[in-house]
Amino acid sequence: MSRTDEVLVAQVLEGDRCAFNELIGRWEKGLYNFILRMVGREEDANDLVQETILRVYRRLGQLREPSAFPSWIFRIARNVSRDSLRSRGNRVMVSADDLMEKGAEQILDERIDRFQRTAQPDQAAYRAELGEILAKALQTLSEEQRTAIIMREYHGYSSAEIAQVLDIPVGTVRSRIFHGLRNLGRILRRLRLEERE
Amino acid sequence: MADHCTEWEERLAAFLYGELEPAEADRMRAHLDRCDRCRNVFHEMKGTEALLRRWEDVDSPVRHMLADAGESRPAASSRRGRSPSAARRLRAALPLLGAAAALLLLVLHADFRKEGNRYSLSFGGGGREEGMSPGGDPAGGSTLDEGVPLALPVSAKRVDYVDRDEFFRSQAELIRFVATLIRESEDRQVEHLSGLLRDYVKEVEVQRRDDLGAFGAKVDSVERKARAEFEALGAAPLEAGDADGEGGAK
Repeated sequence: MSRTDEVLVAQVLEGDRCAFNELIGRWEKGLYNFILRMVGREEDANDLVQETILRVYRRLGQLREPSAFPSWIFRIARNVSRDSLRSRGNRVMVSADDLMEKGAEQILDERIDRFQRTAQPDQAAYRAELGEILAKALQTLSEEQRTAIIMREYHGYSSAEIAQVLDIPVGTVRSRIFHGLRNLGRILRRLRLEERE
Repeated sequence: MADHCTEWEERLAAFLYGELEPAEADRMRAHLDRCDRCRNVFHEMKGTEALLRRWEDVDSPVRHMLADAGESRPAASSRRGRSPSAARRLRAALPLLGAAAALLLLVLHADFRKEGNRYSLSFGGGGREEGMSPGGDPAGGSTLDEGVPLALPVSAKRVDYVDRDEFFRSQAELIRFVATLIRESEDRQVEHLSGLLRDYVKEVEVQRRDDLGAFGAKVDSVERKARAEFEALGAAPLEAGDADGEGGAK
């Protein structure tokens, strides 16, 4: 029978590093995908996952409620991602206008046209390029909106749970998701990348 | 979206994700039936959300140091699941880390030399000259095979959590670091020995000059003495050079 996160946390705190391995193994994929979508770049995501795991390891003793481990590690992952984005400064942040100018629109249009002509949505190449485009589009959102949408869309957190993780009112979370999705929709429409029925 | 619809905004997101209570969801549906603008906004959101959903999770390429399977590792009571073969390698590398620290000490503060298979180590400023004698200075030096410097860094209790690639990168860096230290240490030894050799050559040169001077003085003294004795016998004064004996008795 597999051990619960709570049990594993207790064992890690007793010095069992293998328990930490098992614990992180459960959440590693989720952390990676969360961070990848937050920062939009694979090369950064790798490093930031490591940093997150290190922070988790070092601060595990500060976790007051072991049952809240999943929320806690996502909070750390969010902070790590946010710190990284801040340290990047504005030069890497992508604005909607940035996405449009300097031929980016043309490049993306060509990709989209290619998908529509030749690719089926279930093809790996389509998914990879779709991910790349969505990563760029997500970067146009504020970090707050992006966090809320990613947690809601990809990690199954309810608005109430997101509110708990981020320590903000539920209404704020829903507002961020609402405005984030609308902003994202505008960007994607400008890229003519809309969901095909 | 009309101003009077603002109150629905937050609930639109909740409705999209099925978070509204059934009664509230019914009210939302009724509102969407009546309000074209809210309905359009909702459909746009739904389309965007559907597109986002197509961005599937990928496997994490991150492999931390405990993530490798280690079937060859002996089972331990506390070990389950994936075994930390990389951790084992990291632990095995600790003596190397110790060597790096020891060599750092050598470069910064200590004197290092190799004699056969034995590495002698002298700390501080003393013992350079003493170190030239075989075996070094037992009072001022230590040896690597006694484990003194190697033991220093092994006291580090915690090993940071790193992935395999980072681990190997760090190991490669460590090896390069140690190699650099060794190279620098060797360079220092070559420089040190060259200096000593130069000093020795100078000393020999001085000694040779001194010896030649003393020998010349001795020869002069003998020559003067011989000349005086020869003149005391009433013989004619010798020409210079005859004292060398090449002329023999005339």
